[in-house]
Amino acid sequence: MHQTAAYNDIRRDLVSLLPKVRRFAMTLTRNASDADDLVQEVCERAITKSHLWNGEGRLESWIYAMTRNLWVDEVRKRKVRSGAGTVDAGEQNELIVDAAGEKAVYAHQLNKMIMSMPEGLSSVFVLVNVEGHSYKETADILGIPIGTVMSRLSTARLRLSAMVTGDTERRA
Amino acid sequence: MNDLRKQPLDVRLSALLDGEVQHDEKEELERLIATNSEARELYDRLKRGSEIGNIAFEEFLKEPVPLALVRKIKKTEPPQQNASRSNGLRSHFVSALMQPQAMAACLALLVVGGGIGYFLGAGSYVPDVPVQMAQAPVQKNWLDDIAAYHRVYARQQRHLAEVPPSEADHIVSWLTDSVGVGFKLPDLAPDGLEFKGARLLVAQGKPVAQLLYRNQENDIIAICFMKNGDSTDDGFDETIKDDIGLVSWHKGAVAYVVVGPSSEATLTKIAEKVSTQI
Repeated sequence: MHQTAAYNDIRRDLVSLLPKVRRFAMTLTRNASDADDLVQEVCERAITKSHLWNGEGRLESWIYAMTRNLWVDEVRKRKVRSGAGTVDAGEQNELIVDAAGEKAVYAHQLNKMIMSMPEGLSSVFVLVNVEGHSYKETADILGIPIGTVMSRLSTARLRLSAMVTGDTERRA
Repeated sequence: MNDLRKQPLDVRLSALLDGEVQHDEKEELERLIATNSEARELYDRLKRGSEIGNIAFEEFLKEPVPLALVRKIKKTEPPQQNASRSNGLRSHFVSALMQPQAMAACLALLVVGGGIGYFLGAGSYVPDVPVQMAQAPVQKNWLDDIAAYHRVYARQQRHLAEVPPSEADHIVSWLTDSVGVGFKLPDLAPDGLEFKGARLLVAQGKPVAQLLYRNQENDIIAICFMKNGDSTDDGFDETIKDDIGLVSWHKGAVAYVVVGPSSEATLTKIAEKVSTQI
C-alpha cells in the first residue's frame, strides 16, 4: 500500500481542511448529517481526482467548488428546491440567553439561527467575511455573479446585526 | 475592484468593509459615513453583523470532526497515476512487438531464457517470491505490536517514558546498544512536538526503540525503529489500525514507523522529517 508523497499530501491536506470544509458544507445543507455525507463524498472525489487539481490558488477553493457542485446535484436528485424546508431567519424565534448570558449558550443559539438563514446568505458570508475570499473567488466557487455575492453579503450582515440588536434590546 | 455606484448604499458600504471598492469611491463613502448619520448607522450595523457572524462561525470549527470521516479519507485509495499514459505506452509496445524483427528477438530470448531456466531448475535454485511472501506477515505483526503498545503507553501520564528527556545522551547510547541501530534524536520542536523520553519495546521478538513526543493537542506521537535485516529502501506507507495511524518506511537494514492517533493529519509530514534527521 505504498503511497506517493503527492497523494499523501492531498489526503493530509484534506484532513487538515476538514473542519472548514464541514463548516462550508453546513452552510449548504444546514444539517450535520447531510453535511458529513457531503464532505465524505467530496473528499473521496477530491482524492480520486487529485491529478486534476492544477496546484494553483487555494486548495480549499477547489474543494469548496466541488462541494457546492455536488450539493447542487444532490438537491436536484432530491427534487428539493433551494431553500425549501428552512425557516427564514427573520421568522425564526429570537435568541434566548439565560440569566448569566453564557457565551457558549449564546454562540450555540446564534449558530442555530445562522443555519436557519437561506443557503445563499450563509455560504457567501462564510467565504468572504470569515475566510477572506475575494468577491471574485466567492463568485467562482458558488457559480454566481459578483453582484449577487455583494447583495447577499450585505443582506447576511444586516440580518446578523438584527439578530444581535433584537437580543440586546430584549435583555435591556 | 468593483464599480458600485449603481448599487444600494448597504451593498456599497458592505463592499467598503471588505476593501472591494475603488480608491475614489472609498473616499466618497468614508466622507458619507463621516457626515451622514443614517449612513454611519447602516455602516455600524453591517460591521456588527460581520463581527457577530465571525464569532458564530468560529464556533463551528470547535466541533469535533467525526473520526470515521478522517479514517475514510486516509483509507481512500487514489487512482493509478498516469493510467492513460501507460495504456498508450502499452498499445505502442504491443504494436512494436508485432514487427518481424521484434518477433525474432522475442523467440531468441525465449530459447535462451528457457535454457537458463532448465539449468537453474536442475540445480538448487530457490525463487525469491516465497521469501518475500514469508516476510509480509512479519511486517504486519511488527506494526500490530507497535499499535498495541501505543494504545497502552500513550495514555500514561506519570510513567509515559522509561527514561526521561533530561537524559538524552543516555537514551541515544542505551538504545543504540540495545537495538543495534545508531541514531540522532530528531528535533521536532518546530513542529510543535516536545520530546518526552524513550522506551525499549519488543516486537516480533526483536528490540525496538521508541522515542516519545507530545504535541500541542496533548496527543502522543512516537517514533519506533528496529533492525530487520532487509536492506531495501522504500517509500512511506500509511496504515490505520482503528484509532492508531502508522507511517512506516525502511532505510538500509532498519524499519521505522511514526505512530500516533489516526486523526492526526501530520503523521506523514512528521515521518518525512524524521527520516531526514534520525
